[in-house]
Formats: sequence, C-alpha cells, structure tokens
Amino acid sequence: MTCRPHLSYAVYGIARFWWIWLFPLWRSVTAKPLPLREWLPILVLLTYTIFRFFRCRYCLQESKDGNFHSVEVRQGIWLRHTTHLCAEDAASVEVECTPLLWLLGGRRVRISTTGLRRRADVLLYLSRSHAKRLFVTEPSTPRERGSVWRIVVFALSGSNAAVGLLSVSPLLRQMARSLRDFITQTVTDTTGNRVWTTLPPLLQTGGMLLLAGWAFSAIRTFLRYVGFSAARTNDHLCLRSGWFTRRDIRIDCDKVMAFEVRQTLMMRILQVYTAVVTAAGYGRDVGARPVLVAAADRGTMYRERYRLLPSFSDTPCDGITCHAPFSYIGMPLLTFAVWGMTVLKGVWWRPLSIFGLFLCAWWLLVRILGFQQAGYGRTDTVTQLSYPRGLALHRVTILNRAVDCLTVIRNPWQRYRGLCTVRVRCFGEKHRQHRVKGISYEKWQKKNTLL
Amino acid sequence: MTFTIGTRAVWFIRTVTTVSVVTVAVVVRERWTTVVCAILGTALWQLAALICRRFYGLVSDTTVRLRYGVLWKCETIVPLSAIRSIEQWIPPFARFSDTCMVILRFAGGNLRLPLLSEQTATALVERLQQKEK
Repeated sequence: MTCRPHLSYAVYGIARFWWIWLFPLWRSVTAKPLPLREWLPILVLLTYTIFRFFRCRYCLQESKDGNFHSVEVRQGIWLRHTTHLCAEDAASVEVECTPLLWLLGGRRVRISTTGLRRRADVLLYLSRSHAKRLFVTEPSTPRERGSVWRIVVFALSGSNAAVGLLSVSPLLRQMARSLRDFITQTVTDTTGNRVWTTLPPLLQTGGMLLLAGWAFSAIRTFLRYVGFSAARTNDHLCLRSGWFTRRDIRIDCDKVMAFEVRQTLMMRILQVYTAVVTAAGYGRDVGARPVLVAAADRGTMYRERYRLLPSFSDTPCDGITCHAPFSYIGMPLLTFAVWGMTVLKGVWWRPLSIFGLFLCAWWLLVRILGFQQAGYGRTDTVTQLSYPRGLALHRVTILNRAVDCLTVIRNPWQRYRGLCTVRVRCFGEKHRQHRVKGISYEKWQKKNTLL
Repeated sequence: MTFTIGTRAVWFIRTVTTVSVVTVAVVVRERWTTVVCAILGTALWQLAALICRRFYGLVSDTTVRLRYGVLWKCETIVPLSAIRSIEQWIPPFARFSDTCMVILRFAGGNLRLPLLSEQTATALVERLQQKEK
C-alpha cells in the first residue's frame, strides 16, 4: 500500500527550521509590519516543505496477521533517496505521540536497526489509526505498571545533577545575603556601591533559577515515567511511558545485550531502584537507553527482570568481591580531608567550605557503598559487574555473547597483592566501559578458564 | 598461532631513541645534559627491548588474547565472534623497520596490534579471516 505521509510531516518539517521564521514573526508582532523581502525566507521554507511533503511516499506492506512487514520510504526533491527496511531487521520500533501530534491526529514512528548511524533508520509520520494497526500491539501478558509514589520519589531524587542544583541554590542565596551585609558595612563610595549592589540580586536570581532547574528536571522526569508499564509478547518487549508525550516502544528481546540497575544515594536511602537495558540500535537519536523498570522496590525489580528477560536472571551467586578499599575511597577521602581542614582553619569563606565538605562527604558515602557491593561474577550465560561510577551505584548484567572486549590491568601494587582491574566493553554501548577495581586475579582466572 | 613484535622493529625503535638522545646532547652541549642524556639513552635502550619482549599475542579457536606492558601489565581478550573488521596499516618507513599495524575493530571499539613484522601481520590477518569463514 502506497500512501503519503501524515500532515504532521509538513508541520514538523517547518518547525525544524524555527530559527529562520521565529525572528521575522516576532518582529512583525512587536514592530510595524515587515516588508515582503523579510518574509522571503519563510516563504521559501514553506514552499520547500510543501514540495517535500507532496514528493514523499511511504510504501507499507503488511503481513498476513496485519502487522508491519516491510516499508519503503521515497523522499527528497533534488536528491531522491529510497530506504527499504524489513520487519525482521528492525531491532526497535518507537511510536511517539506528542501533544502537537495528538492535536493533528498523527503519530511519529521511529524504526531502528542495529547499525551505527546516529539517527533512526526510518522515520515515519502516520495517522493515528494506521500507526496503531501496524506498530502498536497489545501484549498477551498483562502489563505491570509502576507505582506513582515511587515515580515521584525517583523524579525528585533520580538525577544527581538536579539534586546538586537544589543544594547549590541555598548556598547562592546565602552568598547574596552575606554580600549585602558586606556592602552596606564596608563599601562607601558611589561607584563601588553601584557595582557591588548589582551582585546580591544576581546571586539571588541565580539561586532561584537553580531551584527552578531542579523543579523542571523533577517534573520532566515525572511526566516521562508516569503511566510507565512493561510487558513481553513472544520475542518482544513492549514498553509504554509518558503523559504529555506518550511513547510505545517495541524492542526485539534478542537485541537486548545488557541489564543495568542504577541507584543514586538518595534512591538508595529511599529504597527505589531503576533498571535500564542496552538494546542494540535503540536510542541513537537521543542517546537514551530504554527503561525497563522505572521506579520500584528491590523485590519488584527482580521479579520484573525474571518476567521480562529471564535470560538475565541467571546471575552468579559466588562473585568475586573487591579487596582494595583505597582504590574506591582514596580520592574522596583525601578531598574530604582537605575540605575538612579548610573548614577547621577557616581558610576560605565558611559557607563555601561547608558546602565543599558536604559534597565530599556525599561522594565518600557513595564510594563506600560502591566498594561494599563492588564485584565481578560470571556464569555460562552472563557476566555481572557491580561498581560505583561518579555519584551513582551500578550493577550490570551482560550476556557473554555481547562482551566485545575484556581487559585485565595490573599495576605494580596490584601485582604485589594479587589483585587486578577488569574492564568490559559490550556490544551496543559504543565506547562505554564497565570497570571493577581490586578483585583477586587468581579467582578471576579460574572464573574465565573458558576464554 | 602466536605473534610478537618483530626483531627489526626493536632495533628500529632503539636506533630512533638513541639518535634523538644524541641529537639533544649535541645541540645543548652542556656537561650535565650529556650525562642525563647518556643515562636516559641507556634506560630507553633497555626499556625498548623490555616492552617488545613483554608484548605477546595468541589467537585461539575462540579468542584473540594480547599481553603487554612492563609496569602496568595488561591482558586484553577479544572473542573472534565480536570482530567486525580487520585493518592492516603499513607505515612509510616499513622498508627499514619491517613494521605493520593490525587493527581489529569490534562494536565497542578496536584493538591495535602495533609493530608486527609484515610477515606476521599477513599471517595473522589470514588466520583471522579463516576463522570468520
């Protein structure tokens, strides 16, 4: 069946060049009407988009059971290009419904294979009914929905950067207050007063902006994951998430390479777990990995893993633990000691020193927890690594067939103590590495005799 | 199949480092610089041989293993099934040094095998291509 794309193709084609039409439009609203020559770029853009819309064709073929079988997309005005894609080559299919698409009655479909392109292989704009018939299949098993309360907690505490903004905000406001007191008491000349009196409001505004940034991040995360549900049908994972922007994602289970549990310190305190998977070919546009469990307690998370990805449940029970605490906590301990000295000696401005000490304490606590759970394990099917990275704790389970490169490094001190650092690279994660430090080299060799 | 750095490559590296150190000593022409250059040159002469001796690779039925490093010892294991492409690079001074670089590319990165002799590199590439088939 050959058809044209939905109208939203043209709308998003125009919106993509917002930097061309936004300025003249703003000027026409705020100032006197613009001459025709200033509207020329917009007219050219509109004409180009309309031509592209009318020249684009989708040829969608359905299988016997009414699902998507193959697609051929022909588009372009001067340089015509055609893309063919079969359903069996599709690693993931994402159907997206933004508020604008909902208004227009359309859906955006991204189909990705396991190639190395930065964007999705095929991007389609279809009508709602067409997209639903071809790409959205309701799974036969019931969907497990996330708890709203846990998603709220995850939204408020899941991002270290956002929590960091929240903690920097009161510091800036305190700086504004201290500076105001300093100015009124010390600065007397008019010019200096004029310069210095602009700083406290700026710092105050900065603090409010950081608070707004944290709130924005929390709301965005909440809206992304509220209504999250996951199910499995035959060989596909069906994930649904989002409130304003609804996403239906279907991922081939054979393309799932790794299962990762990530926790920040706040999430650890509040007992909230998040699990993401690495699916080869998914998320190239935005760099995100699909979430399998948005926010759940420990039991629910492992139950979901067993239900949705049973091949990842064969986890090793006799993993190798870490024996080198200073490889994890050495640097945080040192910086904690340095900031502690600045607080005791009063070297720098006191609120800043206390804030630095607080950050180092946070980092040290994360590393201590990370060291306690750090380890390496391997079975016939999976390899599992636990390690802290930055300010978060990670536990990764990788299929053995997805392990692309294993590197073992021993520095002179580790050789003396019989320890090593193991680094693993996995298919589908580009240049990301998983690293565990300070495990026994002899035990590692015994576990990897088949290699 | 095993592979190591070629003997001529070792002598090529030794020659280059010695010439560099001697050039610095001649240009500066100062007593203490000459002493330092002499010590450094001797150390680099021995280190070059040690680095090349510690470089050792093995191609088994399922994996490519590489061991290298003097102070920091590293061991890299790449499954044959993960290798996506094999490249062989020949530098312009290959005639004097008899050196080649083989790069094994996989989805998560690549593994570089430098300073192999041309014969070893060709044999290695053929062996890996046979395994792929």
